[in-house]
Amino acid sequence: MVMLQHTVRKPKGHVFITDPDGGVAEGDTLQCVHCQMHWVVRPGSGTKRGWCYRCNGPTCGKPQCMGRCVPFEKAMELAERRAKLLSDIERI
Amino acid sequence: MADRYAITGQQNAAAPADTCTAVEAVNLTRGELYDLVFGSSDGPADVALRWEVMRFTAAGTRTAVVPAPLDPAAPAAQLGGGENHTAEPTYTAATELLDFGLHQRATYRWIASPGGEFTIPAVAANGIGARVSPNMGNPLVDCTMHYEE
Repeated sequence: MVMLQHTVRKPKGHVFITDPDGGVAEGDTLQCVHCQMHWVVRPGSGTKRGWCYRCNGPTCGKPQCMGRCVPFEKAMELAERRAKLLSDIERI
Repeated sequence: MADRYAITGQQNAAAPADTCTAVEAVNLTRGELYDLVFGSSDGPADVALRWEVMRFTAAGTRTAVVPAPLDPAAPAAQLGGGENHTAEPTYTAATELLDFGLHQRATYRWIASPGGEFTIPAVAANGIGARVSPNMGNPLVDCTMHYEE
C-alpha cells in the first residue's frame, strides 16, 4: 500500500514537510534506543540500521550505537555523574 | 507536571555550517525537546540546506534567547536558549539527532511521540543545537524549538 510506505507500528515521532506549493509530505520516524537519533522510515533506502536485543529497539546504524549497548538513559546518567565528579574535584 | 517553553532563533547561514538555535542546560535541570520547526524567512530562492540537530558540550558565542513559557502561569525557565551564533558550540561528533536536507522554500516540522523526545542532560552548558549549512549564499533561516523541563 503506497500510503503506508512511511509508517511504522510504533512511531517515535512524525515529520511534516510543507513545500512552497502547499503540499504536505508526512512520515513516521523511528528512534535509536542508544543515541536518540530519529530517522524517517524509507523502505528500500539501502541505509543500514540495526536492532538491539537488550533494549529491544532499533539502532541508527552509527558504529558506536551498533557496537555496544548503552541505553540513552544510561548515557545521560554517565554524563551527569561525570560532570558532578568534575565539579567536586574543582571544589577540592 | 513539566512546564513547556519555546525558543525561536534566526541565522544568516553560511557554509560550512552555522548554528541557528540552541537550548542548553544551565541549572542542572533536564530538558526534553518535543517539537522542532525549520524554515526560512528570506526571499524565496533555490538553495539547498542541510540541517543537523546535534548535542554539544559548550555553548559557543550567541545571542541569548529567554525561553517563552507556553503556559503564562509557568515559572521562569531553568534552561537557556541562544540564536544567531557567531562562534559555534562544541558539538560532539556523531551525535546527530536529526539530519536532513531541505529546500529553502520548504518547511520541516518534527514532532516527538510520547517517549520519543530528545533529552538534554542536567549538565551545565550541555545542550542541543540546530545547525544549518547552505549550498550557496547566506539565506536567513529560522528554527523554533519547543521543550519541557
